[in-house]
Amino acid sequence: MTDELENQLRALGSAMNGQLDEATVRAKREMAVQSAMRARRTTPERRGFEEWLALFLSPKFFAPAAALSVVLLGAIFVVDGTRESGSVVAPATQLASSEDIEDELADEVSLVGASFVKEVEAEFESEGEGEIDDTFVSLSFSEDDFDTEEDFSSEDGTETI
Amino acid sequence: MPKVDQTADAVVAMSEAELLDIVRATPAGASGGDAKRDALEELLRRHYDWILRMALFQLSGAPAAFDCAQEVLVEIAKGIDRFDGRSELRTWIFVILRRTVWRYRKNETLQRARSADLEVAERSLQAAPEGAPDYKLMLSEEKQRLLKLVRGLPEMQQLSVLLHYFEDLSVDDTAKRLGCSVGTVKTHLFRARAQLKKLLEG
Repeated sequence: MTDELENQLRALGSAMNGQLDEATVRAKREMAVQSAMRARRTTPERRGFEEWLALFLSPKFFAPAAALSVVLLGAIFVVDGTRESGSVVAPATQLASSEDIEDELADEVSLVGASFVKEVEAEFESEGEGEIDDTFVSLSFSEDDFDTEEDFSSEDGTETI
Repeated sequence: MPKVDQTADAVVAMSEAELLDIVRATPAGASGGDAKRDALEELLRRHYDWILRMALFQLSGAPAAFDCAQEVLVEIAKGIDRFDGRSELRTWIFVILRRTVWRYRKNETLQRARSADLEVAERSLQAAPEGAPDYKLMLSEEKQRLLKLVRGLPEMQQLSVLLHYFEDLSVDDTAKRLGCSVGTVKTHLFRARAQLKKLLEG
């Protein structure tokens, strides 16, 4: 039965191979070939990794991309900087005009400046007269580094630093 | 790379290996672009017939087989630059063919499932293709039945039968085309014959 089946299968194969009209097949073949060549022409070329890398590094792509990156980074820094000093500026809903903003800023600065001056004056007063020299000197020198007060004098001897 | 004469006769006389060398070696747009085009067209023409036969064996009618074969040629033309030559060209084409036929058969199955009229669905399976002979008339009833049984086999068994008996390939060549071992092909053929025998007797 197996041999008979094999014969039947081969006979079927031969019969199928002879089924199509030759002229029809020829026409369909040419149509298929032209269709394939047309599809090939209209299909964008697939790029491998090297081609993509070359495209990315090419001037026409890289320069605009770099410029855009710089702009975006700059924008990030500006926004970040604005956010850090945001406590000086009152919320936008509360501001009436630019004059109000300037006044408020001036007040803030003057307050800061005034408190700083007071702080320094207080420190000087607590240190006592003349001791300011030591205060500043101690930043980089010790008293032992100098033998006499004259070491701090100006060249003409009129002033002591 | 062989020097290509632009005449059609020269291209027709070339071997498949020479044509493939031209297609793979010539970059697109280069001065040898015409030679590449002619070589690729010749390759497509040479493979069309067996692609059509395989589609015809597996699909339900000639219109579907012609469409399927055309689609396979389109895929070959678009993808030939990626063919690296590690396998034979026919093996590579066969993979494309299998994938395309599978998609067509899936569509056919969905259409049959959707059809409410069983008679219409049955007739569509046996329909005479446009502009081509009616297979039902040119095949005996016995052959039609056997063809239907072969189409009902699992894919690998069916392909093994088609390549070995219909395309008349040796077991070795069948294995190469399918991309599997000779032993696997023999197993598929054995099981296919056993199944067909059982169905024919039953």
